Amino acid sequence: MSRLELMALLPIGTLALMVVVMLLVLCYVRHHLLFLLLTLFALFLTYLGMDNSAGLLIGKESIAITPLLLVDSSVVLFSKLTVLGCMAVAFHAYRYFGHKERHVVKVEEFYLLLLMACLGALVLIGSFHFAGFFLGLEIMSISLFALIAYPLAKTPSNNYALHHSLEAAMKYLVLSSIASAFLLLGIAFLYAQTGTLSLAGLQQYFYSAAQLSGVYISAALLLLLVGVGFKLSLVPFHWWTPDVYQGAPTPVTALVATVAKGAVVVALMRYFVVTGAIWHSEVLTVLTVIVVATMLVGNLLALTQHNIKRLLAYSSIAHVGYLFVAFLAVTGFRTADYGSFSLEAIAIYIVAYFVTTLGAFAVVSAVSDQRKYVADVYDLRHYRGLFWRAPWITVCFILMLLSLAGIPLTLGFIGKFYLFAAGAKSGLWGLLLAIVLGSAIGLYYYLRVIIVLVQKESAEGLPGSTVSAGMDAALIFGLTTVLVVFGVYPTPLIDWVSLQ
Amino acid sequence: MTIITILLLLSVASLIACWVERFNTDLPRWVALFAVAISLLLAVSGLEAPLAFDQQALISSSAHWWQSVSYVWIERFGIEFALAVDGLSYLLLILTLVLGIFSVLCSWTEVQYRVGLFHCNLLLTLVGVVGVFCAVDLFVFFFFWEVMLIPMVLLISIWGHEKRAYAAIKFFIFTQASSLLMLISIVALVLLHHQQTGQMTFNYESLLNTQLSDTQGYWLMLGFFIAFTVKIPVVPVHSWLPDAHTQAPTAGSVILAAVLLKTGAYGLIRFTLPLFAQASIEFAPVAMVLAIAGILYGAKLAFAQSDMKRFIAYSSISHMGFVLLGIYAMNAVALAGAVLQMIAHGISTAALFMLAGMVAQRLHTRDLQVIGGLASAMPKLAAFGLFFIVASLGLPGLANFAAEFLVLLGSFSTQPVYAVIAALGLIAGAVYCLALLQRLYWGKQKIPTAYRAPKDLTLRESASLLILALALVYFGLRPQPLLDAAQRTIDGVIEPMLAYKQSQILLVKESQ
Repeated sequence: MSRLELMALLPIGTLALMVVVMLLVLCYVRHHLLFLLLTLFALFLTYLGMDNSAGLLIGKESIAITPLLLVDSSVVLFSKLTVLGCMAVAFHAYRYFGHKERHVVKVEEFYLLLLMACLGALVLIGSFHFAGFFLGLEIMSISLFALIAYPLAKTPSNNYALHHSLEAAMKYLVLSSIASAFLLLGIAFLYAQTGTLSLAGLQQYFYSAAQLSGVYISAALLLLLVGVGFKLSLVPFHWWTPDVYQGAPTPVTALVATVAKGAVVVALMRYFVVTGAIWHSEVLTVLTVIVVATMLVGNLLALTQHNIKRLLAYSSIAHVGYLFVAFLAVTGFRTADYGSFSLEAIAIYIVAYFVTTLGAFAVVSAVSDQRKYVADVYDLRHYRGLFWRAPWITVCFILMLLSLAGIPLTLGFIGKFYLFAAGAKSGLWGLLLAIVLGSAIGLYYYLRVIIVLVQKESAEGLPGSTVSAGMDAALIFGLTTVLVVFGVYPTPLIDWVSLQ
Repeated sequence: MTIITILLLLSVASLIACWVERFNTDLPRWVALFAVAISLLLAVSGLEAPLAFDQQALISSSAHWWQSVSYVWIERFGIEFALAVDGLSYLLLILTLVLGIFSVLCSWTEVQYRVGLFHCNLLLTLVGVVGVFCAVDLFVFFFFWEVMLIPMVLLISIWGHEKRAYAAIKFFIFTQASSLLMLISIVALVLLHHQQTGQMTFNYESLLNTQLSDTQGYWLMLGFFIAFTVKIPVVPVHSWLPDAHTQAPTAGSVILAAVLLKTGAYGLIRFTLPLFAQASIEFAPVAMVLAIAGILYGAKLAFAQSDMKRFIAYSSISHMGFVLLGIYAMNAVALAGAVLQMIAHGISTAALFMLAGMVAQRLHTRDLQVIGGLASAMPKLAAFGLFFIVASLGLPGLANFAAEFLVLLGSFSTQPVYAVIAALGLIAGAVYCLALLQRLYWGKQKIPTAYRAPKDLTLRESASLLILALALVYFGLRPQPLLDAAQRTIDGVIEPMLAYKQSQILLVKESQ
């Protein structure tokens, strides 16, 4: 390993080291705030390390770190986003687990697991070899199993929540393992046919082979799609999503919805685009069908939800579908500037989606029913007239919902605008119409929530829910500011994305 | 600069209105009133006054735009925050601000719930509409097109009547979904322009030079057309309108009917026709058939309504059909008529909704089966009712007649058959308007027992209705100032069309 490789590996190394350090600290001290600060510190160091890697990249296309990992500008960009997302989740979790109604006994391990998940995501994003890919994916998934089951109740009053999160974790564990099995089988087929697992080798194979065909290759690529489709909850592999989102502690839901999905999308894009597998006609057809189905089914199923977390779960399914339109737009630029605009569109959309989703879940966990001493209220009727009781937070929530719906003045619109531009550039008119259709359905349930929020208070007494955001208010206001400022004037964000 | 000042003034006033509610519930009303009134003064003094020194300037000045500003907004896509005003924009801008004042006035006693937020939303809607009428960058246009939507939805869903949530959602989905189609068209147009010139821009005047093949032009035109016709609304996509109008509070209905519907027609004149001249000519017969369907269908349904506001909503569909007919007649006279109709309909419908609001506020119902014969109880109200209803049916001497007449005259010269069928709409208009008049004001008095002896119009109400009535009379007798102001825009739209038609005729002759 050369010095350059070590330097490029620094961010991931730092993060792994910090996990170990925190584990050791845990043996002696248990202090919630200390662990939050350590986590933020670790993530901050990682971010600096990524900045350093960006500096190393000047004048180079990419730096390969062993055959397993590779750092290039897009890896730096998405790693930074991941780290920032994890910071928001850590911040969110501090108040969530610190809430006295939740009676969580041991909170410190949460941060260790969170950092592990972040580590997995970074490995996944940077991987350039199927071994690295699988390693990253599993580090992330296994941390997530534990995270989803996290709230350990001390008193019986909390059994309900415990029950839900165990159920969610079980579902995720079983289904995720099956998906991993599919993935492994796909990788095995690929190896059987090509004799290599590194992306560079596969690229060579695919471009030199006269045509991308053969049962092995098709089967391998489709199996890979199934495995990844599960992790991304693409239709028809989406059944676990609402249950897991509902059952998991809200910060973990936010983590699953943003960081976990973002990392897999980025990795998938790299594997399919770099190898050229995306131009494999069967893959393209299957993927197009899946994407259209994801957009429509996600939105349709969201229509009937009364639970805000389930509603956001279905909406996140649809959003991943939208994101894939930018992904498929890559196919339009086979030659010249291959996919750089597509990449930019994906990056902007992911930023918009991260900011909005993290913010929306932070609001959801801030809403509580103080009259009945219930910390988690997710049913839509608790949100009735919330605007009049907690105007500021609710305005933030409304802006986030509008951003999800893609209305101007918010970052969500800029993201959607990018999708339209990318899709139109590649001439994907059918997919664009599917976005319009999906968005039209989506408007209904976003607006329904907004209308519930602003409804006049009912005469027969208040539903009793109110907002106690505490420190989360800073997070919510911060994210809303980002949402609106970049929604109105996105140039700095675009510059930041294209700088990396 | 004037436009930027107006936009800023209205936006800031919307926040102030929200804030001052804590001191006094009447303060937001005054804030909103002053903000809109000052904007109106600014618009008149800043935009028209410089031209008023020279009467000919309106018609013959060399620059097309009276005033324009432009700032770089999103460099990556060559988007500029570009606003400009010409005659047509100016007329609609003034209409918007004037009716903005009336919408504040007519909710003075009606709205008592969260007054600050109400006026905040009202002013934000006006911001969006003013932006739409002045934008000359397609991205900016789309931006304002959406900005006016959300506050309107909130107006309906918070201060509306019994089925407000349903109406708000329906309104939102119709307009939003159709505007996404427009967004696709805008993006595709810009990309085509980019391919041809290598320059990425959303600027209206640059995009006018885009070369489009027949199919490209047709599909892109459809994207714009659908978005605009949903707003107008035209028959197959009109069904949001009766619900939104009926459920909205009076001020919301006034803004919706008088101003928001006009944004659709404005979009057709400003964007669809000039950008896609060739496709529009091919499409004109279809659009005219839709227009006639709207005129007759709206009239028929208006006749069948027993809810006052629903009645006005359907009559709006019928009257806006004339606007669409005038736009697609491809004729300067008809287009001038369409512009005049936009203004006349704006004024008369606003007045009708205000009247309906006044009746509903006094009798707590809009149902014509429960109320009737109001003339003996409220003579002033009935007098104004008579005036605006006959204005709406197109009584000669009032602005609506002048407008509809011009539309029919113009379209008769190009499409006589369509014009003749559309003229039936005038007769149908007389039938449903007089029927309403009969049921509501004349005949045996029917008033719910709980609200016996309602008060007649107050001074504020009479004064505001009187001003609108005088405006209709003035523009009915002397529509020329309006037509002069819009003349250059109309010529700018029509001339390329006629030139294209001429070239087509020549081509046909040559081939023979």
